[in-house]
Amino acid sequence: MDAMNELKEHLAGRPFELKQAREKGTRIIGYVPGGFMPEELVYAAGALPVGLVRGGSSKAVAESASYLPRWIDTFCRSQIGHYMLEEDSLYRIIDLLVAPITDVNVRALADSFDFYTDIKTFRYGVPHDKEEDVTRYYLEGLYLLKEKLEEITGNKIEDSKLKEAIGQYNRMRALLGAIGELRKLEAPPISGRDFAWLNHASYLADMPTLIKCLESIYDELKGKEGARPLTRLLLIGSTLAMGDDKIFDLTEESGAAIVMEEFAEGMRHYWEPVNTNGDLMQALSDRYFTRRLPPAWSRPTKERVDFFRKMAGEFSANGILWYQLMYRDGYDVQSSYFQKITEAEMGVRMLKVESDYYPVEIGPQRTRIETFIEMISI
Amino acid sequence: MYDEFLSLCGYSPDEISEQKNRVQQAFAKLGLTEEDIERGVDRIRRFYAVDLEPVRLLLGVWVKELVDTMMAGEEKKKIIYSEWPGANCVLNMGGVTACEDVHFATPVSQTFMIVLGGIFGKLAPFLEAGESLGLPPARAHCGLWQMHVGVIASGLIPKPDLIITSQYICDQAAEADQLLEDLYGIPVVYLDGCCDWQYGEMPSKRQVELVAGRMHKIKERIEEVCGVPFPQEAVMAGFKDMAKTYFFHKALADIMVAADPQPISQANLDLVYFAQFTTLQHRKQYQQAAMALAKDLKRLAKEGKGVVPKGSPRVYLAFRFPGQPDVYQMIEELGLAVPLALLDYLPPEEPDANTYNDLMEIIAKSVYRNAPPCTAYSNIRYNVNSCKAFDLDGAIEFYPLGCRPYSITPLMIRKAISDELGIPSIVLEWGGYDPRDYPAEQFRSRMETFAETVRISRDIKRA
Repeated sequence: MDAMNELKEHLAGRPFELKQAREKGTRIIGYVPGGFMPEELVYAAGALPVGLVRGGSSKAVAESASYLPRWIDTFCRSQIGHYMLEEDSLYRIIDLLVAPITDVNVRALADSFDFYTDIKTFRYGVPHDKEEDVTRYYLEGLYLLKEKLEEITGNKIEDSKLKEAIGQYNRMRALLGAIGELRKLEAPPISGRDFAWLNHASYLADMPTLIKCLESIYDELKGKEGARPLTRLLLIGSTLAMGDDKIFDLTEESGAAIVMEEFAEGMRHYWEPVNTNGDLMQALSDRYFTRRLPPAWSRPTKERVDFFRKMAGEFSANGILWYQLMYRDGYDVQSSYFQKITEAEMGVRMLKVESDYYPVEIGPQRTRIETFIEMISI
Repeated sequence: MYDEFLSLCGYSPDEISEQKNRVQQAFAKLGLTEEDIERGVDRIRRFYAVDLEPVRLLLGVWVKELVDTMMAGEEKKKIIYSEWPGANCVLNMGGVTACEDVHFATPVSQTFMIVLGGIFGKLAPFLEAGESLGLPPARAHCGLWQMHVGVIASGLIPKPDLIITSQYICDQAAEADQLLEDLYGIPVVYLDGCCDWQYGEMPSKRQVELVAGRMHKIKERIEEVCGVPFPQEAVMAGFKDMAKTYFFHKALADIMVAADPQPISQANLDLVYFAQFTTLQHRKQYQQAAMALAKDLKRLAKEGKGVVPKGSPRVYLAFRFPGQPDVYQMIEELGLAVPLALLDYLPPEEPDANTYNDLMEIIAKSVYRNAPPCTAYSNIRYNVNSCKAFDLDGAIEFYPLGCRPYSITPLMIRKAISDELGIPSIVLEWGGYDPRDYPAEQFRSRMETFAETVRISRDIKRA
């Protein structure tokens, strides 16, 4: 795909572009890519958002051990490792790290940056159900974020600029949704790996460039057919980070296709647009909190079950691959009974796979995934 | 054997003849055998200062609490459970005053730990129950929540009519209770909140109001379940109880800090400390025993009696071990005095421009203030300031690996103590509510080296 290559080239040069922009006075805002941070606000403030979306590196995990004990979620723990390793300049050029506090693991990520680095964090809470009081609380958090962004950039976030940014992000989400939906076809024209990469790219790329590339990619894929997979899987879990590709290697090598992904962190929640009628801050809260599928550590569970039931039907999935990182207890606890629910209520079997980003995991994971795919393909 | 056991737990002869059958019934439900009672007697003699009557009475308070919980299904109309952490415990305490026919309990986080862990050394079956029912082993789940899920889901303790849980200091509480709700249909009410204030700051009004608002709703839910009003005065009574219990413990901690040598093992103070988070039914006995213990401690201090030699190096202990009194004993045997442990020290109140008039807001703020794990910053400051306030010679930074909030900070605390105070500290992971892989002896060789380091460091400082 030409457009995919174009986007890859763009990403390769992106750190340099961001560094140059920073030298010219543009603020770079890092954030935890958990889908609760409206990047629209960052753009509207004249700053540039950068998702800390790297993962899958055992080297970063090993490095993090000097700063955080191993009992924190692998992805959250490895972020301080990426910073300390100095291998990715994006981690070093951010002026502020925005951390929507979803659970203790994200708190650990933010604390490690506050304690060990010169990068300061800005935190606001993401409550764990959707009752009226907490919905209001989340909205208040967005107002505090707006104020902080205005303070750090010196720019007022005008409604006109915010509306423009929302328009761009809605377009990006719609395009990702449209490309993702091409996998409803019997012979999906794009692999799960490539689709996940597009998601990851969206946390780093310049938005107009990204939209242009996504439009071209969609045009290139439309009407095409890929290989017919042996079986079709939904991939769900805690974090799917950029560089954490082994789950794709293992499923693709076994003849299966990932046809849809849903993760608390690392993948976009592109199903819902921000409505631009009425108050824009309220609209952001509505989209990013109220209509956002709750992660496993939030409630109600039923919303997640209903969503996956719908997705399994629409994408003709034969199985669910639950991929979680170590010590993300919200996912570990829910996995133990989610499996019972999916099998009883959806008739879809589920396999749980865990990772701590260590290469030695691959052997046992391969055996389990191959066996699972064989079982559900019969 | 039962008579000896109950006598060591402060039961009077009349109480023994009156309560023995009930205790036996309760223990039988838990699978406790004669052999366990024998081991319990042996452990009580080894780890607790039962030559002091108040210690015996305090042990009895916890045994009675456990027996009451085990028998609640037959003796009470409704049952409401809550575990720490969080302001939910205060509501539970208030409930004891408001609703006589309802058994409010904090079954696992303190009662199980002290009686089944500390006294009987038998937590494994309850941990295994949780491991098989949704919180598997080897994933660093908190033993508290493993046991909580295990004993409730398996029906080992009476099924509750309501669970009050929280999700702001720790996530696992609500996640475990969500499992009980989704899979077993047990009604759960959630005290939701966010520890999202900025690093270096204290909670603002909005964080306090969110928790307080939820507490009002939970109070209404308790009224619905119990079918009787839960008046504000009862909540206030619960809050006062909590505060009073804290100050009972504080009085003992003050004596421990001032004494040289350390008069009794910290294992005994656990019997007082953990009461502040527990809905004790036998609060009067607890209060009388705690006051009497203060008198005994003063006497021992005056007589110069103690469990370590006079002049021993003094260290801060960043955790408490209600299920493993042998850990205290091992540290004390190595000649380290532990005058101060988790939450003994009450730092000066941070300035707060906000005023709170609503009782729930006052409670919410108080819990935030007293909970170091709410943020890394407050935990780091708490540890550094505890060592500094009493000019301690070192710090033992135990942290429970299954507790996410406490797993954030140990390495940060060690760095801060070293940078700011220049005293030695040691970071040790340990099982917390799950002692199976972390018996006291596992730490002995490291603790021996640490004790020597502390002695040398103190001598250099003095020279």
